[in-house]
Amino acid sequence: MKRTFYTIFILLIIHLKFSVGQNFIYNFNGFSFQPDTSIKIFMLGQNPALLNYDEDHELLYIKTSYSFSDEKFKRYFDPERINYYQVRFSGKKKIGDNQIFKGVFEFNKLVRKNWNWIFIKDYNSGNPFLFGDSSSGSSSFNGIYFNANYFNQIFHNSSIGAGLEYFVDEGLKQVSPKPTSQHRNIKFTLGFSYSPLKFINLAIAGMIEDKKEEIFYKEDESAVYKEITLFKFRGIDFPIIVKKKTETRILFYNNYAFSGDIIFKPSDSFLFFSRIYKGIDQSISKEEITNPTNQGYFQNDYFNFEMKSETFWTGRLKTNLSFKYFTSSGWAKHPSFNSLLSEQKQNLSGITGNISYRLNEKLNANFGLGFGQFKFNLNDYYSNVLFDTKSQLISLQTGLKFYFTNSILLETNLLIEKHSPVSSEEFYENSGIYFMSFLKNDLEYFKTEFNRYNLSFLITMQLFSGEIILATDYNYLKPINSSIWNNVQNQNINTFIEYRVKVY
Amino acid sequence: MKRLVLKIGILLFSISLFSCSSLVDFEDKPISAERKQVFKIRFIDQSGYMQTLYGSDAVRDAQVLLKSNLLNEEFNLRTDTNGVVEISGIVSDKYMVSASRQMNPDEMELITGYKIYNHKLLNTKVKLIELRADLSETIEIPMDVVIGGSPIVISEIYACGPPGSGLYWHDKYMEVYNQTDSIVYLDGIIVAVVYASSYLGQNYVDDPEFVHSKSVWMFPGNGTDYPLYPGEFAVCAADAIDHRVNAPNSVDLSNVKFEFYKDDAPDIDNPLVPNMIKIYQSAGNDWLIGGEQGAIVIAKMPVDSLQWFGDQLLIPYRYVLDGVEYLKDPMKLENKILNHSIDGGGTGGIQFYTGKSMERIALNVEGRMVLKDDNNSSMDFVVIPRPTPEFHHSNPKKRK
Repeated sequence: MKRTFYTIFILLIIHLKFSVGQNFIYNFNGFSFQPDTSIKIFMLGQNPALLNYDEDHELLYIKTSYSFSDEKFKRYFDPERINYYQVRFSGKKKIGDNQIFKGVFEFNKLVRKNWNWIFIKDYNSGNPFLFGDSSSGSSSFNGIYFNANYFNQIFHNSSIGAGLEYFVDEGLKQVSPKPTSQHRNIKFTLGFSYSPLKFINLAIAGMIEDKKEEIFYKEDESAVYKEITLFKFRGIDFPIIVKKKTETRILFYNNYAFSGDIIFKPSDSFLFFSRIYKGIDQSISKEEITNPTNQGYFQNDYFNFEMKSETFWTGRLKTNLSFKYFTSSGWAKHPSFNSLLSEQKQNLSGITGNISYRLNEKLNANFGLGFGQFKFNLNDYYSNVLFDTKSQLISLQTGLKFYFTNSILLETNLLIEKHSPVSSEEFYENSGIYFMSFLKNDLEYFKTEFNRYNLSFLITMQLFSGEIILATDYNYLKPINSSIWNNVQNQNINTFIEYRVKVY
Repeated sequence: MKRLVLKIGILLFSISLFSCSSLVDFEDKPISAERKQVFKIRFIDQSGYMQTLYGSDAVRDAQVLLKSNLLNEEFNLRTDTNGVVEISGIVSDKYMVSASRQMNPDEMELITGYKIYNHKLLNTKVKLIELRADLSETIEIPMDVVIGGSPIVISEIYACGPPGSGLYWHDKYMEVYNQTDSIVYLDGIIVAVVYASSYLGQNYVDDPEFVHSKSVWMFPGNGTDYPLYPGEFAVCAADAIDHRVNAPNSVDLSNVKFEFYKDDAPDIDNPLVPNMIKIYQSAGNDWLIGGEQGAIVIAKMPVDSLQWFGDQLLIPYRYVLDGVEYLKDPMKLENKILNHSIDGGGTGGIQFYTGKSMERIALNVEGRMVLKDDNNSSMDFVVIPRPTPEFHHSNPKKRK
């Protein structure tokens, strides 16, 4: 058994260099350090061999959700408004003693309003080869998502798992020249977990993701007499401008990742979870279907490490601690020559702590603190723009969990975050009109101080022989001391209703 | 048994992970970064003039214009005594090169013993180069002697059709201009539309000798019937009528100098405008050029010398006076159909029914208008918002 353990360990080390992932937090204002109040191992690990740690019950979950955001403090290519609708069915089922199956099926609709120029869906992945036209307006994407996870405990101390995700959608820009798009994502995960001792579980997983995006500019009947200007970006400045009505852009995105997890649970009062996640993603842009021509190559290497612990000191007192470190490094290559167009690096690290205390049978309170820092560096050689910034984040969280009755539970949470730039440097010269007029403010965006407030409510009710959950989450973000985003704010509401029922 | 199953499991898992690497085609991170390379271009005289004058084949004091294909950035440079221009801080791209070294009469006297005017060195062979950050070698461009230039050039092509009038496209025309300070006779000059078919996979851009055409027309006259005076334009219209009657945003071509009239088809004929002579046009009811892309050449040659190649006529390059190509996407020079020796680039980028036209850039040479003719329409032409038949947009007062 010892030998098997070493074999796995060696394999783990060997595969580190082949593995990949995603998570390029280009839009760093999206990052948050919300202190944990619990450790959700399956959700964190995304390893189907850890499906036995999933907290969901053997129920059918029917969920409908809606989110809306209105953002004035944004980068130029961020849409001003986003509406997202989702109807989701999920369920979990144990098959015998050793097997678990969990599946998700979902319809979703994404609407981006006042979206400038770009029609690449994952426009903020760090890939500089963006594509679009000179129009601004609404675009919508209607998609179907499917996810299945299978777990099998092959021996008393080891399990395997496999996961498959599939997503397709179709996009349409509603303003002329009305380009359309199609997306197809497939992700396959294979995991293995092993418990050398009763209180330790080691898990590894490999993941392959394949995405394809196709964008079509065709002759739009309403624009027969209208001149169409297409933008092909290779950096933050100097887009290639083409006046033509038809064009096809294909983006191939591949992601290869590897993860390793350690779960240490010596007793019911202590849990430790640690995870490394390393990966590489690559984006290859091409044009024209019949005779594809290269439009650029972008590669991003990333590494994520996190540790989390949960300690029940008494029956009333619980603490959660977590640490996260994330780094990524991306670079873009010229489509025709062996030269570097740009490099970008980011680094994120943070620590959070939370105390939960059960005041009485009905009331539970928690209080948490978090601290993090973010570094972002962009060397856009093509555009002659260099940018480096470092910022810090302090977060404060407090929440209540209140049982009105045995069948009604209310959870509330308030999070306040302060993002403060610590230092920044920038350099640009001989810049073009597109950078100076539109995209220069994107650099300012990264070094603008802002506060974020998040207030959430969640009500759980035992009703109709099942459980109904109503949840609302409100975000408010306000930049401070900004001459560009003066008196503006971002607001975001996420809400969902979920019905959980035992039907099998 | 248990151990065996476990080992098989591990093996399968390992294979699945290893197979990732075989599926993956990761590229190596380039070492050279954009805008960091110092590019060197050396111009070499092949005529022996520079060797005679300076003991070296380096072309010194040549004016060099570089124009990037994708970003349209232009850089004016001058060669040093080693015939080299250096440029840095620019992006990798295909660059159009126009290099010119005017030989002054004193230099020509030293070379030939006579004060000769109008001799210059031009880069006739290499007009398109790649400047790439990953290569540091000096690029060498040969230069040859050119005596004078073409007396007549294609000065404008209007092909896309007017805005706001449906699919109206009958107002197409091409225009020629007399560059010289003396009369030029148009009689017998050939106008040919360059043939290529992406559908049939036929593209003769690399033909070393001939322009291929399925549409060959000729100016009328017996030698001295149709003079074109210095600085004068002549439009050859598909239909020489006032198109504003049919399409309000179009143009009046009723008074132009020539009209293409296809007598074997229901074509419009303005009796007041002399007709071009159709030598061969295999299809269509009128003289036809592409609305968004195409190429036209003018040539001076005996019609009898035209050769057949299947259903195409061949025009030897040596007879070509001028040629212009326009592309749907002028950045995609790989789609060219006209040989680089005639036109090293491509103008255009005009969409159907926008009323835009392509016109040669005007230069002021010794007080008269000379149109830019570096045999590279990427650099010689501009897109203008409206057609300008028989006048230049820079000088609308000269309009008739």
